[in-house]
Amino acid sequence: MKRFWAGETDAPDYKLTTDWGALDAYHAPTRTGLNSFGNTKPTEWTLDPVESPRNNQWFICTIGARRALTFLERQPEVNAELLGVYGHSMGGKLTVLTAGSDLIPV
Amino acid sequence: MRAAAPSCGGISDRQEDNLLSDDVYLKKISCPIMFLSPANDFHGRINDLQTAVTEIKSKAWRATCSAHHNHQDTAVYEVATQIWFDQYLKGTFVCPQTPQTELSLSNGIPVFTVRPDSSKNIRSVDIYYTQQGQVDGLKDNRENTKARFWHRATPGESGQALVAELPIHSLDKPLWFMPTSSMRWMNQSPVPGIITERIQPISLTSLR
Repeated sequence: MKRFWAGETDAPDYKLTTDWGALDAYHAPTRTGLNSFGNTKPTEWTLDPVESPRNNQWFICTIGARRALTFLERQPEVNAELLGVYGHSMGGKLTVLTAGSDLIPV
Repeated sequence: MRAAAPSCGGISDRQEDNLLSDDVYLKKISCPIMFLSPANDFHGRINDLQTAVTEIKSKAWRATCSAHHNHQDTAVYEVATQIWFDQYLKGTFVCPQTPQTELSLSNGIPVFTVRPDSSKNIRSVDIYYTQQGQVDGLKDNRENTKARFWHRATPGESGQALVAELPIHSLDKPLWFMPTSSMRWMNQSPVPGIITERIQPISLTSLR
């Protein structure tokens, strides 16, 4: 992860991973070094400069999942009324967070 | 979204005054939901599953709980995701009802009665039970998480019901149990007019 964040593409152990840009939506390790469960404190990689739920990694990942659903809804070959969500482990939590925010358009 | 199937997560991360806590979102879920919750999972813990199913708004829910599995499922359980989506996204399957269950005592021995939904071809019914549970649900004891041992009892037929004795060492400890039905079902083949049997059975669990 640290190789990816530093852009060290020539490093032998470099691996491509999700690029969250200026945000820290990683689980472990996180860019902040803080535990992703429960943390709401502001850092240089958070959305808000004050303590906020939007600073938590799960919030950003949930927005990502909701945007994935919106993307699918807009595809002509997709029946937007018949979308389901499955996830394992972290994805299990993310499934619950996504299903529990289903009425909130993003 | 029309249906959800969380596996090994989404039920146990409960923190007071935290808007990213699982219970905050569980209470807003109104779509059909299948919980895949292995009985010895360290993360999506079975202690929290019963709470979770009382928190959701949706009346359409099921659970599949593999005994002794920690943070992963095998195909017999994992396939619950596919049949859930077959039912609610494709409309090609109807999930069996959760079995009706009853617990009684006979000469100090717990006796468990199961009346499974017979709309599908039932291959077997197993009763898993344990006394290595913790009522407070804390994670401070390995026997209440990854190392919990589940006894298995195979019930015999008694009229329309299946009945099993659950012998235990002591009546002083709480008894935790879960009936798991393993079913095979006939499924329409991609070739019109030909009926084939799916290779994998499915296991559904009744929570008590």
